Amino acid sequence: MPCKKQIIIIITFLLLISFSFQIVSADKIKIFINNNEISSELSPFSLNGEIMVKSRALADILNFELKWFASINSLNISYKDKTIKMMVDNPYYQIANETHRTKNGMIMKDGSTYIPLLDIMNAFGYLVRVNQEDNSYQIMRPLSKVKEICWSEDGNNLIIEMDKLAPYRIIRGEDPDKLMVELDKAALSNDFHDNLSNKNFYLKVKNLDHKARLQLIIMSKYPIPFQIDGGFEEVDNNLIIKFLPYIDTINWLDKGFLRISSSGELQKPEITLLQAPRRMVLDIPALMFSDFDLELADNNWIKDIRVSQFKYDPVILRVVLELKEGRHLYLERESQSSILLKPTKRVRLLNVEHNNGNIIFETDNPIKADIFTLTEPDRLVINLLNTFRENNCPDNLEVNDDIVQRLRTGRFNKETVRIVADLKESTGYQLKEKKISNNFYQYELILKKRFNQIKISDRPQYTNINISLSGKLNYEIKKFSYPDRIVVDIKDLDTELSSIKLPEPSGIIRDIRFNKYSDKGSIVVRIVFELDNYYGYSLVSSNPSDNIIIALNKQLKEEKINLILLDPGHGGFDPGAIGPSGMMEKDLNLEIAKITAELLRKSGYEVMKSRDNDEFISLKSRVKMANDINARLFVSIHINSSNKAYSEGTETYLAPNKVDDSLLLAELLQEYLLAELKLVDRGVKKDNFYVIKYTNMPAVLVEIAFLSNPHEEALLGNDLFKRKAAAAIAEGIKAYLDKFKGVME
Amino acid sequence: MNSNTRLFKILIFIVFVVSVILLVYRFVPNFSSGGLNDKVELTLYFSTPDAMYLQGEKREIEKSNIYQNTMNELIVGPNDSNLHRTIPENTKILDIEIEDKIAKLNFNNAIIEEHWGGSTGERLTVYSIVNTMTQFEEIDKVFFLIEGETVESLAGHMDLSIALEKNIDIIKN
Repeated sequence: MPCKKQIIIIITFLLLISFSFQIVSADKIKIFINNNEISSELSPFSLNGEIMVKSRALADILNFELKWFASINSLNISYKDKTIKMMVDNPYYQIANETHRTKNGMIMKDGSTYIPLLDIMNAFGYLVRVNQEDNSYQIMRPLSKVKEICWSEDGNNLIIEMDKLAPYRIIRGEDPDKLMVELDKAALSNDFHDNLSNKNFYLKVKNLDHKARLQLIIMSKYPIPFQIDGGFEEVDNNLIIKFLPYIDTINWLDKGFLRISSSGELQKPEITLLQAPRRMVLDIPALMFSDFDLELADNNWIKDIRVSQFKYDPVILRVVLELKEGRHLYLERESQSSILLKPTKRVRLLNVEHNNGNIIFETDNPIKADIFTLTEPDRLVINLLNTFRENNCPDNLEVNDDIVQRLRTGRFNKETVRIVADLKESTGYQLKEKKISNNFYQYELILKKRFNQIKISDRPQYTNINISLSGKLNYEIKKFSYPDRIVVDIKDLDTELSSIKLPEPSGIIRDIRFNKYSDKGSIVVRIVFELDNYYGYSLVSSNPSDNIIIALNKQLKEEKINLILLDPGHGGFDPGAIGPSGMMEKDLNLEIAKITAELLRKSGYEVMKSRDNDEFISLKSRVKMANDINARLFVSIHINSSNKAYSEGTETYLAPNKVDDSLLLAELLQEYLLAELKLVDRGVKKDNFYVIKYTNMPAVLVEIAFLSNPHEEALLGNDLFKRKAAAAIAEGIKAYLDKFKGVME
Repeated sequence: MNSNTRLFKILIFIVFVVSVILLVYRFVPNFSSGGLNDKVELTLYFSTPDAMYLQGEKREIEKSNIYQNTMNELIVGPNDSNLHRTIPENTKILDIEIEDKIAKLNFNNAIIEEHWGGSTGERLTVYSIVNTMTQFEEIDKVFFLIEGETVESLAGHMDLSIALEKNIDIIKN
C-alpha cells in the first residue's frame, strides 16, 4: 500500500504531464491544402512568428521545381513562369526583378532547407487563410481574379472587373476621403490594370494574406461621393460602385445669367433667401463637392459665390450666391444636369383666391413659382421668391371643397412669400400664366387628381386591372377591335403622365400605353390595354371611383367552371378548438358549411365541400383539391379560440400574396357576418395561412366567433345562430360573384 | 521526519496546487471571465388582453445558454398581469439549432396537444416565439419542429412548412 507522500507525488506528476500535453497539442501547427492535412509532411515550426516549412516537401506537394546551388547555398523555386531565388540565412528573396524581405529568409535545419510558408505561397499566387483559434492554415487558390478597375464613361461609376464575382464588402470608415472594397478569396490577375488613379483619385491594393482577402483602398482628394444606400450593383462578374455626381462648373455667361452644371443628374435645389448680407442659398441634394470650374465675370447681380459640402447624410451641396443690393435671381432648369439663375425683378403679390376648384393669384410682374407638395399632412406649397405681399392680400381662406381645406398666405421671409394649400387628399397640379395688362399677371393653379398606381395581376381565370387614383373620378370603358383592346378614359386627371410607371403586361394583356386627347375643351387621359384575345370583361368597381377594377376573362364563359369550394376546418382526430362545455370546432364547421352549401345551391351556384363528414384531411390535400378542380373561389370555415375566456368577435383572413383578388371577398364576408351576427368586429387581417396561401384562386378564412368564450359558445350551440352564420357567408359569396356578373361580350 | 523530507513535501504540495489551478484555468472556459452571473435584458412578447396584439415585456435573461433560457422564460409567461401567456405551460424546448441565421426550434408535443386552437390562438403563439427569437442579431427567421419533425401547421391554420420572419403588424404600438 503506497504511502500518502508517494500518492501525492504521483498525482502531481500525472497532472503536470497532462497539463503540458495539453499545451503542446494546442500549439501544434496544422496546414491544409484543399482540406487535406499536410502538416506532417511539411514539418512546420514557428520562428520569430513566421511559419517555416520544409522546401522539398512543399515542392513535392505543389509541383514546384527546385534547383539547389550548393556552392552559394542558394535555392531557386519555380512554379509556372515565376522563379523565387533564396539564399540560406538571407532574409531577402528575389522574384522576377523585385526584391522582397521576410523575417527569416531561408534557413537550414537538420540538413534540410526551410522556407517561409506565407511569403512563398503569396508570391506564387496562392492564398493562405489562418484560423487563430486552432492554429491552422488553409492553402487555397484564389477563386476570383481582379482584371481591372476603371471609371465608367460618365465618370460617375467605378467598375471592378473580375473573372468571377468574389464575395465582397464595401466598407466606409470614419474618413470620408477613403473607401475600401474587400474581396474574399481573390487576387489581382497578372495583367491587372489600374485605371482608377487620376488627378482626384488613387488606388492602393493590400493583400490580407492571413484572411485570404484582397483589399482595394480607394483614396481621394475630396470626400468620396459614394452612395451609402444601394450604391453598388452586380453586373455579370463585375462589381459596380456608384458614385454620386459632382459639381462640374459654375459660370456667369455672356448672355447675362449664371449656369451651374454637374457631372450627372442635378436635382432641384432648395432655395432660401437671406438678409445681411443678401444671399441666395441653394441646397442641392445628392451632389458632391469636387475640383470644379468657377468663372464669375464682372456682373451686376452676384458679388461672390461660395460652395461647400453642407451635409453627408443625406448628401447636400451648398452654393451660396451673395447678391448685390436690390438684385433678384430666379431658378430655371436648363437640362437634367444643369440649372440657370436668371435675373428678375421684385414682384408684388396682389391677391390670392380660390375659384372653381383652382387656386388663383395675381402679381405685378411675371414670376416663376416654385411649386411642390408635402405630406403628413398633405399640403401644396407655392413658393414665390423675390416677392412681397400687398396689404390686402388675405392671410387665410377657408375653402372646404373636395380637395382643398384652406389656403394660407404668409411671408416666409423678407424676400419670399409662401402660399400653402392644406389638402384633404394628395393632388396633381398645372400652372397657367395669363398677362392681363402691363402691371397685371394672373396665375391659375389647376388642381388635378392623379394616378397613384396601375397594377396588373394575372389569375387562372381572370387578368385583373387595378387603376388607383388620388381621388374619385368618372371614367368610361370602351372596347375596340383590330387589334382587340380595352381602353379606360378618365377626365380631369393631372396630365403629367411622364411620371406614371406603367406595369409589365401579363396574362391576356400584351401591351399597355397611354395618351391624351381633347374632348369638348377638356383633356381626357386614355389608358390602352392591348389584348391577345378578347373573351369579355367585368367591371368590378363602381363609377365614379378612386380604384378602377376590371377583370378580363381569359377564356370563353362556357368553358369556365364557376365552382365554389367551402372548406370546413379540421376534422377526424383534429377536433380544432374545444369549448368549455366540450363542443368541438370541427362539428360546428361542418354543420355551418352544409347549410351554406344548401343556400348557395338553392340560388343556382355550384358548390363543393372539402369534406362531407368527420374525417381528417391534411392542409396540403385541401389546397390540392381546390387547385385541381380550379375552383372559382375558396372559403375556409373556422371557429376561433384563445386562452382567455373573454376574447370575442368575428375576423376574416386573406393571404398577403393574394391581396388583389382576395381582399374584396374578405371584406364582403366580414361585412355580412358582422351584419348578421352582430359580434365584435376584429377586422379583416392578412396572414400566411396554409389553405389561403397556396390556393390559386381568391381565398379567405373566416373565424365566425370564439368557442373559448362561454357566451359565444352558447350562441354556437343554437341552431338559429348557425343558420345566420351560414346565410351571412352565402350572401357574402353571392355579393362577391355579382360584381363579376356585368360581363360585356 | 527530517527537514529535507519536510522541505521536499512542501515543494511537492506547492507544485500540486499550482498545476491544479492551471488545469482548472485551462479546462474550465468561463472560470477566468467570471461569467456566472452575466445577464442581458431582452424583450419577450406576450398577448394583449383582447388577444388582438402582442406586447413586449423586458426581462433579464442569463447569458449562458441564452436561447434556451429565453424560450423558457417565454413559456413561463408574463410578469405583467395585464398580458397573457401565449404558449401551453407544459411545452418544452428539446433543442435549438442555428444555421444560416435560421433558428430551428424543436418543441415537444405539448405545444400542439395542449394548444387551445383558433387562428387567433395560433398566431399569438407562433409570433410571440418568432418575434422574441428574431430580436437576436444572428437570427433572422425561425423554423418550427415538433418532436424533431416538420409540421404543416401548429393548430391547423398557419403555414409552418417554411421558416417565419418577424411580424411587425401584430405588435401593439
